[in-house]
Amino acid sequence: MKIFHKILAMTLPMALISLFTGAWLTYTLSDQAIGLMAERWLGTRLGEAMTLVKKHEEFLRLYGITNIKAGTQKAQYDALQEIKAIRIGQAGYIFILDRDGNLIYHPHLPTGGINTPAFVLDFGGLAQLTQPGTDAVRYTWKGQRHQAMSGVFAPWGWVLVATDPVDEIYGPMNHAKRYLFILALLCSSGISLLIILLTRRLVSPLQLLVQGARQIGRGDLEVQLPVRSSDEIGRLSTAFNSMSRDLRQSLSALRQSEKHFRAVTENSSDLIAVLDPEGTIQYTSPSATRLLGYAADNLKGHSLSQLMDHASAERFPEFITQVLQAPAAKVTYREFVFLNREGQARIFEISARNLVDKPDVAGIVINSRDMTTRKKIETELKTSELQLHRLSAQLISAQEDERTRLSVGLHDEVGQSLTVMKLNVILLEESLDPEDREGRRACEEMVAYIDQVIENVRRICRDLAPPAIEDLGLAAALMWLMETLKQHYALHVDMAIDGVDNRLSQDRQILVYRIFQEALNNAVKHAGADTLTLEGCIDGDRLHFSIQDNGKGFHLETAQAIAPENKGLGLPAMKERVRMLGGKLSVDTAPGRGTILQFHLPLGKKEAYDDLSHHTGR
Amino acid sequence: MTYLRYIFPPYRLRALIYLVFALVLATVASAPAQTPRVDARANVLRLGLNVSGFNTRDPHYAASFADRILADLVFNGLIRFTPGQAPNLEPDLAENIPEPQIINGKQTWTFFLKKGIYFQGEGPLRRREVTSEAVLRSFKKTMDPRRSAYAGGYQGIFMQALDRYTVRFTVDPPQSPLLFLPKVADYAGGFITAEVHDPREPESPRLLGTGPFKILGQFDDRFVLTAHDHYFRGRPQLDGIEIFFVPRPADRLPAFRDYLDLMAGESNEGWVNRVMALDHARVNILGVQETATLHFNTRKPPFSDIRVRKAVAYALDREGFVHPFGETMAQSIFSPVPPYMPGGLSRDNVKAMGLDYPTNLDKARKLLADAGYPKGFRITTVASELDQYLKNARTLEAQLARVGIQLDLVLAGHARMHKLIRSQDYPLVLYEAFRPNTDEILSRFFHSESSVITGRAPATNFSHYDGIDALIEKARGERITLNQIKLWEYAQIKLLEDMVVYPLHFRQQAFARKDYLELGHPVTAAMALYPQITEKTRLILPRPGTGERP
Repeated sequence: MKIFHKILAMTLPMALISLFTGAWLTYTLSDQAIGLMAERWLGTRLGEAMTLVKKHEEFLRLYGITNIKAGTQKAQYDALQEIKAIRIGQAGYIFILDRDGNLIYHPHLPTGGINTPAFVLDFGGLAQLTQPGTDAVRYTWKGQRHQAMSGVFAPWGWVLVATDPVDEIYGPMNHAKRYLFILALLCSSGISLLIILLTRRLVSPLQLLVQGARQIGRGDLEVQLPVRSSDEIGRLSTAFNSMSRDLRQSLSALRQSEKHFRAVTENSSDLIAVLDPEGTIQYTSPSATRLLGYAADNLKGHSLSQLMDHASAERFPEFITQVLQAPAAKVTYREFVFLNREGQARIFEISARNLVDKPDVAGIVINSRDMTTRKKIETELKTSELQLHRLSAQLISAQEDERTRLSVGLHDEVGQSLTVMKLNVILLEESLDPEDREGRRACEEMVAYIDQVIENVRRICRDLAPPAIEDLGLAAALMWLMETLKQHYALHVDMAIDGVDNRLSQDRQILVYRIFQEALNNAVKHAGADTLTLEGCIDGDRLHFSIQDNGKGFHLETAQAIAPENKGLGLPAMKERVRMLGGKLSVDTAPGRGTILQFHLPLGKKEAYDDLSHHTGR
Repeated sequence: MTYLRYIFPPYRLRALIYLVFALVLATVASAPAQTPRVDARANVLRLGLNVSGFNTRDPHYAASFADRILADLVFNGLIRFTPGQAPNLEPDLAENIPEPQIINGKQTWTFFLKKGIYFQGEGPLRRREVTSEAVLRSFKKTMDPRRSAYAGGYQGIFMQALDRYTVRFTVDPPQSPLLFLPKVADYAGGFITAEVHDPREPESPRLLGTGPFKILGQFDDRFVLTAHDHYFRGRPQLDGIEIFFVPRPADRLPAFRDYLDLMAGESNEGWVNRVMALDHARVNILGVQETATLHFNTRKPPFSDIRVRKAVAYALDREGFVHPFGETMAQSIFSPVPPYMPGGLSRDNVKAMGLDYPTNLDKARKLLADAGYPKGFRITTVASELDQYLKNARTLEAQLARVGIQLDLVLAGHARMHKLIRSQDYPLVLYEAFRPNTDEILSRFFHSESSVITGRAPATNFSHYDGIDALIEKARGERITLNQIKLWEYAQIKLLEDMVVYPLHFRQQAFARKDYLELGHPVTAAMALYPQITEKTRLILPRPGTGERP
C-alpha cells in the first residue's frame, strides 16, 4: 500500500469521526450549557422576585408597620406590581402560588388577588414546586413543556415560580441542530477532498526524493530536486539538494586531496614506507627507486633491515620495539646506514610513528631522509671551522710575536740610535760658541725632541709587548694599563682583580691583557665612558673577568648584523681571544645604559693549553 | 430735555406716569357702577377673581386663593414651581437647585444666588440687591411666628450667609427633597421679601418683591399692578394687570364676556360649557386640585365604632359626588392624599387590599345593625354655603339616607363654617382643601397634635385620630424619598383600614381665558392656583370685538 493510500486510510476516517463527534459534542454541550444557562436565567429572575418580596416584607418590620393588618397586603401588592415588571424572555413569566397550590398571581390566568387565591393549580407535576426542597421542575401546561424554578418565601407563605417554555429556551438550539449536522456533512466532504489533495501534494515530492536517492545511490551526484514549498517536505528537498551538492564537493575534494597527496608522496625526496610490526615493508614510496635504486614494488614483503648495513641492521629490531612501545603521537628518530643497489652506504635519518592501531594505516609509518650529503658537508664545515680557528689563533699569535719583535727592534735599535743621536747633539751643543745662543737653543730643543721620541718609542714598545706580565703578573699589568690610560683620560676606575696571577700561562695572560686593552680602548675612545669597573677573580673552577663602563652603549643586535667587511675587529677579536682561551664572552649593552662585558675562562684544562698550542703552533 | 431730565429723573418720571395712570383709573372707577370701558389697544391684562378682595399683601400670610395669586405676581423664591407645570421645580433667584450635603453630620443645602437681581422700588429703593443677607432677613421673617403664618414649617432649619451670594441652610433633623425644597420655593414661606419702613406707617412695613409685576394699589373695583421694568428675566410683555373682584356667580359670565381677559371659573362642566359658547373664549382646567374628604369623629358615637364608620363607607358612592361637577372637573380619590401627589394611592392599589369600600348597602346596613343601629341614626353637621361645599353636602345627605342615617345640615357662610368645624365637636366634617405636600396633609388632618379643640396645635384633625402619629413622624424624618413615600402610603392604609376618613374626589380649577391672551407656557398645574401670568404672557392687540381687528 502506498503512503498516499495509507495517509488517506488513516486521516479520512479520523477527520470524519472527529467532525461528527465535534458536531454531536457541540450540540450536546450547547444543549447542556443552554440548560444550565436557562436554570441560571430562571434562577436570576426568581432571585430578583425573591429580593423584591423580601425587600417589601423587611420594610414592614424595619419601620414597625406590622400592626397594620392591610400593611402586609400593601407590601404584597407593591411586591406583585414590581414582580409583574420582571421579564423572562418573550414567553416566560413569574407566577405565585400559596403553599396549598392556590394561584395568587398568574399573568395569563384570572386570579382573585392577594386576599383570595383563585384556585388550585394542578398540572403536570407543578404541585411539586410547593414542596420544600424542590427548586427546579419541568411540566406541561396547555400542551407546552415548561422549565421552571421555584422558591418559597416563608413569611408570606408564597411560592414564587419563574417559568419559561422549553421551546423558547431550546428553540434556537433545536433549530440549529439540523443545520449543525448538515454543516458537519458539508465540512466532512470538504475536508475529505482537502485531505486527498494535501496527501497528493505531500506524497509527490516524497516520490521525487525517493528517485533522487536512487540516483545518488547509482553514483549520480548531479541530481537536484525542485523545491516548491517551505514546509517540511520543502526543507527536506532543500536538505537533499544540499546533501547532494556537499557529496559532490566532498568527493571532488577527496579526489583532489588524494591526487595531491599521491603527488606529494611520489615526488617526495624522502623515502616513505609503511612497515608491519615486524618491520616488514608494506608500502614504499616511488622515491625508493631514486634513493636506493630498488623498485618500490619489489621491496614489499622484505624487512627494511635487509636494506641496511650490518651495524644498522642489528640496531633496527630494537628501534622497531621502541617505536611500538611509544604512543601514537610520538615520533621516534634514528639514523641508519642503508646500502643502495650499487652497495654504496647512504645515511638516512628515519622518523617513525606507531600507527598500528589506526585502521586506516595499521602499521609503522617510516619517513627516511637521505642525510649522506648533509653529513658530509657538516664534517667538512667542522673541519673548515677548526682550521679557521687555528688560523685565527696563529694570526693572533703571529701578531703577538710581531709585536714582540717590533718592540725589541724598536727598543734595541731605534732606542740605541736615538740615544746616540742625543749624545751627538749634546756634544754638538757643547761644541758651539757659548754666544751662539741660537745654535744652543736649537740643540736643546733637539735634545728635548729626541727625549720625547725616545719616550714615545718606549710607550709603543710597552703597548706592543706589555712588559709587566712576565715580571709582575696579569693583575699588575692590568693596573699598569689603567694607569697609562688615566694619564691620557680623566677616569674614575674601580678595580678589583685578585687571584688571577699565575693561573694562566704567559700566552693566555697576554690574551686576557689584550681583551682588557681592547675593551678599555673601546670604552674610553668610542663609548666616552668616564667610569670603569674592572673585576677579576676565581669563580670555582674558572676565572671570571668583567669590564663595566658608563659609556653610551650600543645596539648589540645592530652591531652583530653589520657585515663583517664593514665592522671593526674589536668585538670579534675579543670573542676569538676568549674562544681561544676556551671561555665564553657575553656582552650586555643598550644605548644610554653603558656596557658590561664578561667572560669566564676554565682552569686546569690541559686541552685548552694544548688546543691553544695547537692553534698557535707553539 | 436735559432740563426736564434734571427735574424729572427717570424714577420720578415713571412715578409720575404711574400717578397719572392711577388717576385715570380712579376717575374711571369712581364713575357709577357700569361695565368698565375696554380699550382695545391697552396692553393691560384684565383678571377677574371670584372673591371680594385680597386679605393680605404679605406673601408669608397668603393662604387664600386670591392672596396666593397676588404673591405669585409680585414675589420670587430661591427656586420656583415651573409656571403651569407644578410640582416641577426650577431655579428662580438661585442659580440652581442643590443636592443635600452632609457637613459635620448635619444635612445642608447651599444656594448660590444669581447676581444683579434687585428688589422692586423706585429711586433709592431700587438699588436694593438680592444678596445672601437679604435672603436671610426674608427667611427670618418667615420663621418668626409673629410675622409669618408659615413659621411652624421651618423648625429645625438654620441659615447662614457664606458670602454675599451664597446661603446655606442646615436642616436638623434632615428632610427629604420633597419636604425641604418647597420651603424655599415660591410658595408660602419661601417667597423672598424686603421690608421698607415708611415713616408714616412704622407699624406696617411695606414689602418689596422681585417679581415681574409690582403693586400700584387698589382703585375702587380693581387692583392694579404695573410691569417691573427691571425684572431679572426681562421686562414683562404686559404693561400691567387690572384685577377685578367678581364675588357674585351671576356676574362672572357677563364680566368675562364683556371686559375680562382671564377669569377664575366655577368647577362644574355646565359653567365650562357656557364659557365655551362665548366668542374668543377658552377654558384652562388645571391643578393643583382641592380634595374633598369626609372626616369621621372617632372619639364620639356613633362614629367611635369602626363598624359604623365602615357602614357609612359602604353606603356611599363616590360617583354620586363627582356627578354634580362633571368628570372633566372632578375625579374620585381613594386615599386622603390625591394620586397626583407623592404617597397618593391609586384605586387599584386600594382595591387590592380591599380598602376601596365599594358601595354595598346591604353590607352597610348589616354593619349598622351589628353596631346597634339597625334603623340608622340622626346626626347634625355644618356645611359651607359655597357652591362646591353645598353640592357635596347635599349628595352626602341623600346617600346616607339610603341606609337610614339622617343628616341634618346646618348651612353657614364659608368663613363661619371654618370657624365652627374648628370649635364644635361635629360627628363628621365635610372638608375641601389643598395642601402643598403629603406631610402637610397627614400632619394637619391626622396627627393627634392637630386635633381640633383637644390637640396641642389644633388644626384640622376633625377625626381626633392618633393612630398614625408615629408613621407621620417617621416619614417626615426619612431621607430616602422612596421610603418616605412608602411610609405615607402605609399611613393612609392604616387610615383606610380604620376608616377614619372617606376620600371623595379632587376637583380642578377652571379659568376662562380669551383666545388673544397667550400665557407663554403650557398649563397643567400651578401651586399659585391660577394659570400664572409671567413676563412672557402677552395680549395680541387690539382686542377683537371692540371695533378693531385683532
